[in-house]
Amino acid sequence: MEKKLIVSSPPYLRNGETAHCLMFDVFIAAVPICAVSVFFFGWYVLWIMLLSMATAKITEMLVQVFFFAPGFKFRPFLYNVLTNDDITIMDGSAAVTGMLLAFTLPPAVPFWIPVVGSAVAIVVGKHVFGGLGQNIFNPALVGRAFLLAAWPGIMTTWRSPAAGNAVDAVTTATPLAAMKMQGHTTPLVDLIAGNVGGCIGETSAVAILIGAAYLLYKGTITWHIPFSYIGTIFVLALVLGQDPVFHLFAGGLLLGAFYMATDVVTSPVTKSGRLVFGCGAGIITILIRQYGGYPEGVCYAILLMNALSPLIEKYTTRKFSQGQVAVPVVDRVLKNK
Amino acid sequence: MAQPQRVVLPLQDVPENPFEVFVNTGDTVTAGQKVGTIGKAPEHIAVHSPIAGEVTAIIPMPHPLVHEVNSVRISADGTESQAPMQPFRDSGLSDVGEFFREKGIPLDYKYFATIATILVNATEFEPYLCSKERLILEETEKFSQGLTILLENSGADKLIIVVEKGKSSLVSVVRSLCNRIPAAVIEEVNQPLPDTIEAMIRQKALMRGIVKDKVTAIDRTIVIEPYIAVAVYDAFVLGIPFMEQLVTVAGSGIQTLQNMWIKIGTQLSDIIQQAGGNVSNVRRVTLGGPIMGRPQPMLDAPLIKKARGVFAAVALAFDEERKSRFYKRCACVRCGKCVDVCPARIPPNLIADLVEHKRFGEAEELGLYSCLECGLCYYVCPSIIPLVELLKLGKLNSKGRDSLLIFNSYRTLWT
Repeated sequence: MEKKLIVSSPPYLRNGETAHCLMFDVFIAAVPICAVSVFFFGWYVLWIMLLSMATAKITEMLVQVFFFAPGFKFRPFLYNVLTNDDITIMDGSAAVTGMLLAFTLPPAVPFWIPVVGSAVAIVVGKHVFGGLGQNIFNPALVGRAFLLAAWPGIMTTWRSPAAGNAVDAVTTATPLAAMKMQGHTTPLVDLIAGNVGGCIGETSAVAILIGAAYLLYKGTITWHIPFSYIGTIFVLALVLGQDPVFHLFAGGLLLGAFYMATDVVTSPVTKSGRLVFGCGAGIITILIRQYGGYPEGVCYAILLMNALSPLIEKYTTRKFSQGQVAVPVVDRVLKNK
Repeated sequence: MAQPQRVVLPLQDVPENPFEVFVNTGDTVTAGQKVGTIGKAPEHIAVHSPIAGEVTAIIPMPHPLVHEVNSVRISADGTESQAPMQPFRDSGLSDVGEFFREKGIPLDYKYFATIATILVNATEFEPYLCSKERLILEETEKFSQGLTILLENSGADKLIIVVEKGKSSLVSVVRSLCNRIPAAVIEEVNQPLPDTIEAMIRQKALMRGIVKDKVTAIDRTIVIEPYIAVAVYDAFVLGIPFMEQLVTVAGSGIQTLQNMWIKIGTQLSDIIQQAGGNVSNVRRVTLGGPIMGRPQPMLDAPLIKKARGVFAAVALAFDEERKSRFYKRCACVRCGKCVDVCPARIPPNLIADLVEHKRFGEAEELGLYSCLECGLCYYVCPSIIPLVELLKLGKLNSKGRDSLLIFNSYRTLWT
């Protein structure tokens, strides 16, 4: 029998990208950060990351098995988990959340901190709102905010990078805390290389910028949020009489600007909205750093702007009156003088 | 391309259209002879036989856009007899529009008498297709003469040629052309414009007429493709009716991708065979490019006048069984890629979400009617959401659906 032709609605070409590509781009971009943090803080940070990612995946699987997969059969368990369409642990989003959460933890936390943090991030940050694409707040930052509120002592004990792989950890202060509490500045070379106290992922500016360059090149993130965020911080620090370069490289600004604030689900979809989002986050960050009680404000700034993101989106999309048809490029072409 | 052995000339656009036919089964026709008209006079457009031969049947045959319409089928008899060619000054007609109708040129005649601006869309929106660019580069003289004729003989006082930035050879050719024609201006755009902008302009006028009852100069615009300018020159100066079209034949089912001069009415199977494709192999054939083309259920359908490309693909790339488990629809992650590429600058993901929840009023507020149905949003969507289909569904279900044009058919009206 002669085979029939296939008829379906166009288009027939796709650029071949799937949502998994977006997630795995983040993993590839995270490789330099992992390498630098292992170099400065020892192999233990790798275990924190793996534990955090594994917990995130297992939590998501359990939540979906019990609440979001109505026809789930428990036997054989692993096969059903991997083949059920309602269980999305293989799409990488949970693992990205776990990894980003691990980046925001101090290098010497006990092993149960990433476990609890990932579980809270996935359940409260993501699935309470309806899963992937529906969450209001960045899940990794929700997890970090929870941990910081619940165990402030553990979450602010920083290990000195000079100790390397040594067993007896030496505590130190982050550059921002040292600046705020003692008025002590850290050399710029250490800040850029990452040889300072701080969270696992935030210390090395070079590694973050390499990863961010990859993400920008691949188009996974756009330049709007990071550059408006960093630009706002730079300008405001100048206005307030601070050292702007120190504010850029100290603390979690670069990690937050390139990896957290650009989280696609929780930022506006319009370009102008992204610029507003970045500016707002920059203003809140500098306010917390300068006048607030915490030395670091990136996490809360991004969470606050996440909450405002639907509002920003509402006011930055074009509004059409009834029956209005308007395509800017055609109008511009036809108005040509 | 070699002379086709048989051609199919549709006499209708839709099965309800009136038509006239001037030949009978068994008659011998010459190349360029008028065999019938689509529509009845005075709103008609002539159909000419591109080959000399014998009329074998006047029956309903497959049409690329609709199921079956009455068509004339002609088989070649090997002779080269030509019908006499009548340029405009010999034709005895006083109205240019009437003359173009007699020569079978697919213009938007309803608006032709009152136009103020002619917009030439020389940007190539479809991937694979390049016939517009080649036509302008190779037939520059005919192209510019045809545009001059159109300008002189219609009410238009402005000619805008839209080209894409970065196509340097095309830009330089069009720029030198604009220096010779005083009324012509070149407009460079960053992103190619889809072919549906003419439908969009009509839609806009229609909508504004309904809401405010006012027509502006922008609405009095016709959008033409470069091949129409060439056809106008051929008809006006040489007297050749529109019988031949430069068509890009491309796709994975074609051996050598090429631009060919193909007679109107050649069946798709003949075109694919001529280009070195295996007819039993291809599984997806579209008239037009792969992004906005019309899918074809059978290969008997003929080439029609407004088609600039034939895209034939073999089944390897899109078999459902071969796709990975991840290559299916998942939740929108709001990455905003569709918003970034949309030529109409509307947020397709937000609109599609509203359409899925049947909130058509809010979708309209976000610009549902401005959608050009170009398909770029689906092309880039990492979550594989059928955005174009959802937006079309929204248009079909919204409040003003009675006044909406069918975009993808509009550009192919008046075959």
